[in-house]
Amino acid sequence: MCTGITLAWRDIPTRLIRKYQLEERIIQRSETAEKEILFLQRHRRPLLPVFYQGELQILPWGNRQRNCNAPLAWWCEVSTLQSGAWSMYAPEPVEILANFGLERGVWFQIREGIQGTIIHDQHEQPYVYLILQPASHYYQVMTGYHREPVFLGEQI
Amino acid sequence: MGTSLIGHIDADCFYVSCERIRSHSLRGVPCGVLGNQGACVIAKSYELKSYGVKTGHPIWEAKKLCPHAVFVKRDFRWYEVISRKLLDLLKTVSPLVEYYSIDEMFFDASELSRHFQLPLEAATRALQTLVQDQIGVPVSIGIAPARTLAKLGSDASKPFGVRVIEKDCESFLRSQPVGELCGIGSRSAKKLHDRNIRTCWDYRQADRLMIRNLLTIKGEALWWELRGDAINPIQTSRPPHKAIARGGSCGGKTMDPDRIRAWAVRNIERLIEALDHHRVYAGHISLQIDANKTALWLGRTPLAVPSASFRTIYDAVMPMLAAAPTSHPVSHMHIIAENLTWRDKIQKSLFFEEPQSPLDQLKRDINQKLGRFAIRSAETLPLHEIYHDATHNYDICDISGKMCF
Repeated sequence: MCTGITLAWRDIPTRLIRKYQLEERIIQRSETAEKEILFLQRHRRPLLPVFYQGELQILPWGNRQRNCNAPLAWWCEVSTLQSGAWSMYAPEPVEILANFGLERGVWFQIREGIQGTIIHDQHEQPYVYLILQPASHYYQVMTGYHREPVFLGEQI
Repeated sequence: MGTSLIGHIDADCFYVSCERIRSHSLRGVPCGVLGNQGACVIAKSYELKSYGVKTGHPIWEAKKLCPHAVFVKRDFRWYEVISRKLLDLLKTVSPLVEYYSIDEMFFDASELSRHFQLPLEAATRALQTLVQDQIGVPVSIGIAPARTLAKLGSDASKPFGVRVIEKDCESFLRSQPVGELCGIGSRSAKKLHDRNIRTCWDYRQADRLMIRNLLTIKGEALWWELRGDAINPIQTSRPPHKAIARGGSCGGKTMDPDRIRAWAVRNIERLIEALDHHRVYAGHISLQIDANKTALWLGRTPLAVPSASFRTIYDAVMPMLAAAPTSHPVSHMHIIAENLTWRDKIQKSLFFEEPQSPLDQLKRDINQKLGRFAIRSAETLPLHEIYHDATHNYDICDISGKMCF
């Protein structure tokens, strides 16, 4: 799985950083490393940076509210999506931008991004879900988890 | 060929540096490269090293030592590409280059000053900058009258340092423990310590015959090299192999004849790839079958003419496989090519088939373009676990010039 990602601070426009108060999520792994913005699933307000409708947007990561008709989850199995079980939500593919991913305390590199899906609730509020698949042998040994995200352009 | 100056160029945290070439986000980040299975750190950046993470540490220990470290999947093919670029660049500034390993090379440094039109130390720094600018990899360089001194110099100046060592280099040799010498292992170091030889200077000042008695002729060669007398020349080509083998685990014990045959064919294909790489033909083919790492059976077949043809090697291996006992489950298998002949020195024959058929050459060309085993024998299809998980890379150790993990 993947419980957190980071994206380089320079890749996020200042207006978005201000709008979503992302300054408080800035991390730097060493003095000479680039600043990154942290997006964790366990944040009080989980968000994800996505490339959607031709631009970078910061959107809610999954849904935790029972009063809307979006699934109460933050990920979706690729086989579930392919089976059509989510077709009632009219899911759209979306590209989640990330430099590094986090799973069970292991940070790993993400070269191009992660495949996600976006759906809208009855109020047209968008929600982004990670798409997961069975983990490769390598990913499973590295993180100790049996599911991995669908990575764009690579297989870890 | 002799030379008055030998250089040693050694890339700093090479695998991590290669990853940083294509990923700017890794720069400055504590970074570890993971091995074949994703469990062990096989290379680390200096930032990660500062947290106490060592090569060989399992990932669950490394992440405790440095929770914000980033781990990267190894890509030996990319590292080999960068290594070859470094070799090609070095050949433009030096008349002789030895490809010592994937991240280390020796070179004739006698023309360095003339090439850069600078004094030797400044020219060495210019070479370091050239490598950094053109390849993107930080390197340390040692220049000395002998290769042992040159290697000692580059090792001592890491990271991203340069050291030019004169023949008389007492203070430097006094600062280097004798265990730092390439060729002195822990047992040899203990023997030397017992005789109160603790630094490279002590080694150099020791009695030559005593060193020879203690550490054989190789120890004596080091003694001469520390005095600035070049004993080991730069080798631009490796001596020919006596044998090349491909094989290993069969992915667990098996008595299934289809799987055993599939592993044999897979290993034949890997062997032919290695014979192609080293530009040799095989005169003999041996098959070794192990049950739980205990040699169970060994067969040997001479080939009518030296060959690297799939059909010829297949026809040699299969009767040996058929003759092997079937009472034990097979755990490991090796196919060994011996009596090797350089391809450009082979005597052509009128009566036997060519050492490689057009089909072999076509297969090689397509696989070089599309990836290893893009075209493979259908007999290997029972090995579905290999093809099911492309990330596992069973045969990763076949990549030339890399350390095997």
